[in-house]
Amino acid sequence: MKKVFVFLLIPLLYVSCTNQSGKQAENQDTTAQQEVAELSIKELLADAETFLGKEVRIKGTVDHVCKHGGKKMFVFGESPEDKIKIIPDKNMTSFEVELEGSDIEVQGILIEELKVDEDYLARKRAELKSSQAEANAEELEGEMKQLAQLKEQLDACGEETLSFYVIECSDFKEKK
Amino acid sequence: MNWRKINRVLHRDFGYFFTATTIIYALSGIALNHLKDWNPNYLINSEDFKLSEVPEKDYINEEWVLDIIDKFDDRDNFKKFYFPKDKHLKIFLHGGSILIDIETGLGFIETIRRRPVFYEANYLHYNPGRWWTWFADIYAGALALLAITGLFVLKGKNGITGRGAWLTIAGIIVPLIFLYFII
Repeated sequence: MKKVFVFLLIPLLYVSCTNQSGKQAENQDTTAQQEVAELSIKELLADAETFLGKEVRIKGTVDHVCKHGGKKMFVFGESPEDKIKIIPDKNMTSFEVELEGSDIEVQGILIEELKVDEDYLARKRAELKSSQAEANAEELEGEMKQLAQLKEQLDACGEETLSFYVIECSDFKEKK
Repeated sequence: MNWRKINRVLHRDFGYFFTATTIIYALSGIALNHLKDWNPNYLINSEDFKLSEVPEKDYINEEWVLDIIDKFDDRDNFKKFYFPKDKHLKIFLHGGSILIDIETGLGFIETIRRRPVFYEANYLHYNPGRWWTWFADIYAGALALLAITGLFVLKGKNGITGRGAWLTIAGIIVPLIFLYFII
């Protein structure tokens, strides 16, 4: 019987150690919630530079969740063109595929995932050409197509750089 | 109680207690090692179809969408529909989706359901919460303890001074070969 108690004591010690830090984290979360900017995806994307690195909250419908691990999902707003990628933060495991088609509210930090300009495109083209021998033809063609699409998007936006933003999600709620 | 008896008791009891956890990590370990070859979390089926007639975008409403769902699924599974692009209609279902090119009538339905056992094992493998992380850390420590106590369970020619020594050395050499000569 004594042995059993010793065995159960180990996890209990861990529980009591972590309980305090859990309460602290909850308090921090409550404080953070008070400073969150709540806006539509359209508003967020239109003024992304202002919200970079800040906590934001958006509402939308889940269009797609990555089926290999759920490490990203795409959410659209009132218009299908207003779409943003969401990734889980370090405290969140993944998103479930069942979220597709659900209305959700996402909270997290806006980060710039990719900045595309002519230098970036030239560098990527050079990298692809140098790896031509190793990569298979299909993969190479796919990546070249992606670069061509990025170039089209860059030209269409009329700016020198084209930024892609993601929200690093700390919390989300599915609206039933 | 001599040290061999304590060693045996630790090895036995930790072994019993962590059997389920070992199986969870073993299953998900194999599953996640082969992510390129299969989807360990979901069973996905897709089927192509062609609709003989599709109304213009402005005439597509929920009633028409529900009639389409009736052809392939249960209309109770309907969640929502929208037009991701002018000529594409996407219908969300509980457990899948339907995508239709409204110009050509070509479409496909994708049904998704969780892969039993593997979904749950993989979910735990990805550390879903703080408490599980603590438990997994304890388990990792217990695995090390199981390995060390395992060396000293048997005495004699099959123990660590005989056959056990050779097998233990072989087990050390294998990762070293991979580290320095293969990878």
